[in-house]
Amino acid sequence: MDDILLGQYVPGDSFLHRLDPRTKIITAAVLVWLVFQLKGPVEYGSLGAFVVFVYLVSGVSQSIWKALKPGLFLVIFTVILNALFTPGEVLLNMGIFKLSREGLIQGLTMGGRLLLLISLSSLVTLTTSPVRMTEGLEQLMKPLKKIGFPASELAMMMNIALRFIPTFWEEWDKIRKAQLSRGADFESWNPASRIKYVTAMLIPLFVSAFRKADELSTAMESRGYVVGATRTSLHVLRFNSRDYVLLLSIFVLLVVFGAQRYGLLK
Amino acid sequence: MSGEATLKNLIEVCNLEFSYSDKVSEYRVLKDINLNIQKGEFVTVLGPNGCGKSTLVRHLNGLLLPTAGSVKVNGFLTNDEISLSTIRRSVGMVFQNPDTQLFASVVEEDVAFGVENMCLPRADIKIRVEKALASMGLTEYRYHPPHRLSGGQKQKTAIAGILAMEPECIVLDEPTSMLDPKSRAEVMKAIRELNLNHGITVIYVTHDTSEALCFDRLIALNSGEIVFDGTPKKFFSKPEYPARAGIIVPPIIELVERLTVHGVALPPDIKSPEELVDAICQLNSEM
Amino acid sequence: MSIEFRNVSYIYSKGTPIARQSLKDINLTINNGEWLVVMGPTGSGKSTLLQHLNGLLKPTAGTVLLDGSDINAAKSSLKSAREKVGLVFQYPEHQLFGSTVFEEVAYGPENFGFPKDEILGMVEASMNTVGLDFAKFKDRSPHELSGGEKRRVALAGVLASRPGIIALDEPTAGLDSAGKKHLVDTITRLNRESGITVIWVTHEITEIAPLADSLLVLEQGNTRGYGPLRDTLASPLLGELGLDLPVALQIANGLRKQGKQIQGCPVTIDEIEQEILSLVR
Repeated sequence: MDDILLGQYVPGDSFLHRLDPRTKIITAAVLVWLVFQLKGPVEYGSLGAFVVFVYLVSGVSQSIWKALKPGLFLVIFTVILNALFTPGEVLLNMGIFKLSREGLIQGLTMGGRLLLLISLSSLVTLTTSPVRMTEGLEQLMKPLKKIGFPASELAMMMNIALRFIPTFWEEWDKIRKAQLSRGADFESWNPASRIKYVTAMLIPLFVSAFRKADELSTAMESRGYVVGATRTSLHVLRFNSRDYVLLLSIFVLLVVFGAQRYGLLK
Repeated sequence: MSGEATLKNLIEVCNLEFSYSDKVSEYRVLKDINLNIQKGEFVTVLGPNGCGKSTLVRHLNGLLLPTAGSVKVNGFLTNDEISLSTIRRSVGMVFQNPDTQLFASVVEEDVAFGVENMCLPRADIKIRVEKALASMGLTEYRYHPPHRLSGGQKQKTAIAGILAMEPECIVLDEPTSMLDPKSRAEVMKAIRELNLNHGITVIYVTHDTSEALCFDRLIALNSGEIVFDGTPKKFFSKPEYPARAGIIVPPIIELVERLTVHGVALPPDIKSPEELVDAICQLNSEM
Repeated sequence: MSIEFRNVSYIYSKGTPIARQSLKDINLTINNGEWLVVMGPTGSGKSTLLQHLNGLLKPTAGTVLLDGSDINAAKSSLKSAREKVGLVFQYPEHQLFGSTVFEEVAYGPENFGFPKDEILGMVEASMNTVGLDFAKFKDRSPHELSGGEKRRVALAGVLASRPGIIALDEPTAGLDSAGKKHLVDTITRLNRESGITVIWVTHEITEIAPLADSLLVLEQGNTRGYGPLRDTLASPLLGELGLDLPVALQIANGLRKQGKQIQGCPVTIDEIEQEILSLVR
């Protein structure tokens, strides 16, 4: 259960940790856009090197592998699929599979993009506590509140969902083990027994989810939470000089990149 | 009762009935409950599982509303929607499962949740959170994720979250029943200090008889009715009281009784092994 | 039925940066009909040990022997271990899924491939064992029962497959005094009358100290004490680890500290009563 990293925050005090969540969300969004604009190994390499550098300075480098692991299968899958099924100059012929030059390039590009996307977004979740993150999102979505968009409620929901992922994983593991102990054979090929085993897993899981939701909402209600009511916050999000500097640098980076890509510098 | 005496009552429960019904039948969970709780009291609510303890205490801050009768906190009726937020600030509640009442990713943020709902200025929130963390001994854990804490620390985080709202009364619904003995002792100590040092009224719900022995006032509930209201000493003085409450007499009480029957002159209010040891040593030195 | 641990070690997430050892070189012999109590602070490896009894976890080193043969040797030995060793998890009532009590209790025997006509008898017998009237409860939904009854249904579900060993993780947690007594009585009967071997993991020792035979004390995956119950209780070990002692023994230890003479290791109210009476007379 410790392997699960989704939304797992690593407390720390690095430059990245101290940034305003909004800065991180905006920067990550810009960088994600940039990933799709990149061409050629040099550009990919530079951005990749930059991401690795940020991991190192923000003290979450130990988590990089854990962050990438869940997506790695997808990355490998993408590379292989593209390499084998894209028509083009054949490099290696293996019967029905043909490894093409174009396919290899396309596969590596796509794989590289995925790696960058996963590592970029993990960088945000690793250095931002889910509560700060939802606060950041809430603030960014605030303009939408005027048209009746439930920004605060959505943020609270996200917050709770993130918090309860490890709890449900533990529960799942416990129920599975209890069923195994009573002779359930999850590897069985018999469809009738499979249905039975799946029900035996899902019903307790749902019952427990409802029970937990009920207990949590009672606890929240008795602490004076009312859906939609105004609340104040322990942390007020405030841009510091470092936020301005970073946002400005990102802006400059964008301008330079755009100018170079679209030939405005010439 | 004189006017002065009623004024001191923090909580007044009057002819409270609670029932819920499904398609088939109606279940009466609470029957004609009458109860006054004064400021600064430490009250234990004892009873077997399913006797209605939780249902009763959930009426005390308006989480449940009476089917008949009334519940007043500081003179405000719980079924008056306007006073509900005032009532919930006066009467805080801590629940059984430490895992489902904490939801923030950092201890500090969880402790702040209730105060944030009160719309206080940020500086005040900060001070209150700091104070609450300190009084529960959690300051060093303020940036820890709650799910990495021990059970005892989790329950203390929940208590700190209520404490930060500066309530007059804290209701604890079986707060130790899912904890190991070490955590249990830790939480019990923290609760006792709430009452002694902060003057907070405590209503402590439990099915563990040995816990109920430690405090001044015991209310025993069985099948939705109050079957006893008095001191623990009186409760165990006659076998009919625990029997009526569906409670098995704890071993220490049984032992003291047996020794007394055998003519050992022990003081009647022994509640713990330590007290019994002291009493026996006293006897020996007198002989 | 007997079970033996030979140099069993277990490392969580072996080969990853978050690996941590949770059992270290455990040696145990639990004989047929024995009642073993396992105690230890939170995180001492009690639940991990329990999950080795029926192969839910496989030792990273060492072997677990059921009646002399390695349970992890093959798929068939694993399946038979699951049948013979009934495991009751903490708060087992949270794992109920059946739409009727009958369906719930019959789940184990069905999975282990017992014939249909036999299952009926097995369910009835195990429901009777835990004190649930067959005719009254078999068609009811387990989800609408009281907490105590749900736990009995869960216990019946494990007992239905007629295990020779039953292992329980904190079986009395959350039960009131009457519920605790009922459960302890049920297991005592199973142990005394049907000769079932019992492994009981707990924080609360007072109720079962007079019943159990041996005690294992774990701390951070290490065996800190193991042997006949009274011998292990008599050592200062449990106090040092902050674990619960039987009320009788707490009194005896207190009196000894005051310089009083107490014989042996009293664990029942009767025993300590006799000791105190002879002290004050």
